Amino acid sequence: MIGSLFKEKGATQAQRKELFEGLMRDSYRQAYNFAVRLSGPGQEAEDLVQESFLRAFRFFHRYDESLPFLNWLYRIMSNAHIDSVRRKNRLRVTSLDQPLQSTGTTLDVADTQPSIERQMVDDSMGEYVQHALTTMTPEFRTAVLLADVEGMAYEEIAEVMNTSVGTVRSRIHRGRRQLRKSLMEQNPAHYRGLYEL
Amino acid sequence: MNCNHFQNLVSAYLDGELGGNEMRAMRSHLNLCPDCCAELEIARAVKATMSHAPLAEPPAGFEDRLFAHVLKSEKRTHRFLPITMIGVVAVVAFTITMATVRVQRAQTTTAGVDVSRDEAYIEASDPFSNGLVVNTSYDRH
Repeated sequence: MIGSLFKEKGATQAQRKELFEGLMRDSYRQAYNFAVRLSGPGQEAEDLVQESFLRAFRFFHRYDESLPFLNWLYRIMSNAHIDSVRRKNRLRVTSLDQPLQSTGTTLDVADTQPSIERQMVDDSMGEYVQHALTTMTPEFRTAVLLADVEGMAYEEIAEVMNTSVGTVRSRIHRGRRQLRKSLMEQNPAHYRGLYEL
Repeated sequence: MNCNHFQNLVSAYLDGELGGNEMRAMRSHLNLCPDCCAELEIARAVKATMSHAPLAEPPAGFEDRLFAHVLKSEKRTHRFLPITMIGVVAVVAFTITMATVRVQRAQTTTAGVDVSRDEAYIEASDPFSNGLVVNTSYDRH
């Protein structure tokens, strides 16, 4: 009896795994694109996609197949991204000039020049837009991206972000204002004509 | 309602997310207010900037790395599954055994109480027994 239970469970798991792999194959490019806009290009985007698919796979039994997989994945990605931003904000500030108490040595700083990979993505994305996105509040950034890039309705965004439609409306409005301000500051000559009252 | 109220609704209006009454009020206001019209055009330009940005393509080898990472996590989960199942089966078997032993003990105790009570009753109610009780047996031969 236990043997047949194992076999049955194994068969179901194999089917679920196959289904998940198919969904992952269909969606990973879009997920990567969303991750680049959320967290910036390069390793951070890769990490966000990997972490999100990992969470999705672990909790795949909770996924309601009648709903779009991407909406569910975006919900996971948004939460993972906001978690990551909060974690970074909590990190302690350490002086680069003062030696560390534990080792007596100073910290090395990474090269501030962008890597070729990062530069290529920045160029293809529109450098100004990508930079403007990084200056936004994570909740506003997510709402604007879901509306303007993914073309979701406010109700869908509310579901993805686990909030009310009224909050989504406010986040999109304020998010677009943040974007406009940042783009104007970066390149006034280009954006003045478009964005000035 | 003032301009500030309508300017907060500009994005929702642009996205077609206003209800009937709000939509009509917004249209009427836009016909009269150049500032709110300008705000609407700015929101439209920002939206266009965002929606026309090209897709970011994943770097070479990303697909392989991603699938390997996720599948590796699945193997890790499965390695512990049989151990968990064996543990569950052992706990269930132990619980059933303990429950059976308890039921048997309870039955024995109840039978003993019944015999003592019967003997006491016979002793009290038979004036000729003189304290002697006939050995009672509940077994049928």
